Amino acid sequence: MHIDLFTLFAQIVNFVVLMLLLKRFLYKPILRTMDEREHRIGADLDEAESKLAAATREAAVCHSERQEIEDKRGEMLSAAQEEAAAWRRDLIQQARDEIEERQERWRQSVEREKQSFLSDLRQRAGEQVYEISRRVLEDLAGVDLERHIIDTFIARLPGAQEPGFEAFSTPNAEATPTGDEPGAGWKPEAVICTAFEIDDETRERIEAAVRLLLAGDFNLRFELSPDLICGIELRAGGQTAAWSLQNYLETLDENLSRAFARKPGEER
Amino acid sequence: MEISPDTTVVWSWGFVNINLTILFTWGVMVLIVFCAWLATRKLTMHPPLSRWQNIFEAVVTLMRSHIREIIGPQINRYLPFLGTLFLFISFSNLLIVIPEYRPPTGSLSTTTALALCVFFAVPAYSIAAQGVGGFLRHYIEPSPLMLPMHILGDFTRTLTLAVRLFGSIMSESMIAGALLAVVPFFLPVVMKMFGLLIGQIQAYIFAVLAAIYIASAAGTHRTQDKTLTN
Repeated sequence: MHIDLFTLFAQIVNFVVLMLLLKRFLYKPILRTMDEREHRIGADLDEAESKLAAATREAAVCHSERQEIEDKRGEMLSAAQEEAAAWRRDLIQQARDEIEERQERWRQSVEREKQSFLSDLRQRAGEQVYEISRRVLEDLAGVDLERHIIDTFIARLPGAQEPGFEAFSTPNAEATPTGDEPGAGWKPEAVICTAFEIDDETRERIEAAVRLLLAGDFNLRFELSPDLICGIELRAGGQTAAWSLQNYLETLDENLSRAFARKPGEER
Repeated sequence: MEISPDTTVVWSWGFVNINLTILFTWGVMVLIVFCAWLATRKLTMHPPLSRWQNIFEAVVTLMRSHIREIIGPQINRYLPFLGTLFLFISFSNLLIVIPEYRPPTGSLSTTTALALCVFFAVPAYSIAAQGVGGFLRHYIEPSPLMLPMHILGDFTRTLTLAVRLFGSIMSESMIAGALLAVVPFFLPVVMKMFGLLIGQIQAYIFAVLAAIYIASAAGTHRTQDKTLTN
């Protein structure tokens, strides 16, 4: 256990040399590299922080924009819903109007058909009643219906002096069915309409009765009118006196109309 | 049994005696420098790093963190001296796994040389840090009565540095040699492993104590204390 002086100094020198060599080959390059890396990492961190801040700002902008889009979407959605609801209401209203219109048309059509049916029924019923009545009276009682109708008509013609029939006393130009201008030789005209043919004798009886009713000079004309069911009519001076089955048929018409108007299950 | 490799002279010329201590020291120096060259010849800043660069960066980072803790922020000023102390002692002690290798740190001449280096480095760093006045002033602090104690402390700590390292390494070699004679197989291997551990611990202790002595003389720890107090 001794100290060799030469070795001592040699080791001091060796240590100093080693220190210088390591400073040259190890510490300087390593430290430089580590410092550069540290600076690079610091710069990268700074850049990352700035990018993070930018990204955060961008995210905030995106968030606000997305929120705005969501708000707009909600508004548009509610507007679309309102519009759809309004459209739906319009469509429903249109459908209702159309249905009501169709119902009204159908109702009018039914009414027309009913009126047509009733008219036709009335006509046919009148004809049938007339035909049946005529045959029944003829076969069972030996009575001519047309003659009896005419007799009844003549008998029921009111007198010219009775109230309400003053107009029959003076047939005027307005009563002319032709509407010709009155001129020289022109005479007022009275018209007898019947639903059946009448013979000359009966015509004379009727003319005599009418001339008793109406004052003054006038022409009497006879017309065949099948629309007058089982009846006879006198038209003169804008007035009409008639007897026919029309009143009875109107009663039948009213009864049938009430029957049509009655709802199912409703008591009669 | 030879205690120190100083006694084995390999080449002699006049007063120049190249013994095993110097020879193995050169070998250790060449190995360290070669490894350093391997580590730094292709330095890269980005991964993947080479294996040697990784190792030496880890070692340098470790030494820097210890220096920062003990001395303060002036790391790069003290790193070459303290780092070389640690690396030299560490490599010297690591190579004991090689047969017929005699660690230079098992020579009192080597440990004394290293202790002397510390002995001269302490005032050098102190003067560089706070000037001659500052260096001399710490001998009379906190009282001039402490001057003899400070001077005695300088010598004794140099002596303890040298003897501690020498004693640890020499004793390990002695025990290993003795056990090799008695139990030639398994036990020497275990002792070698202990020797590796003790060698690294001694390298760490030597470098840390040197750093503490430098910090104490340079007054950096006092500056840190004042800074902390303020």
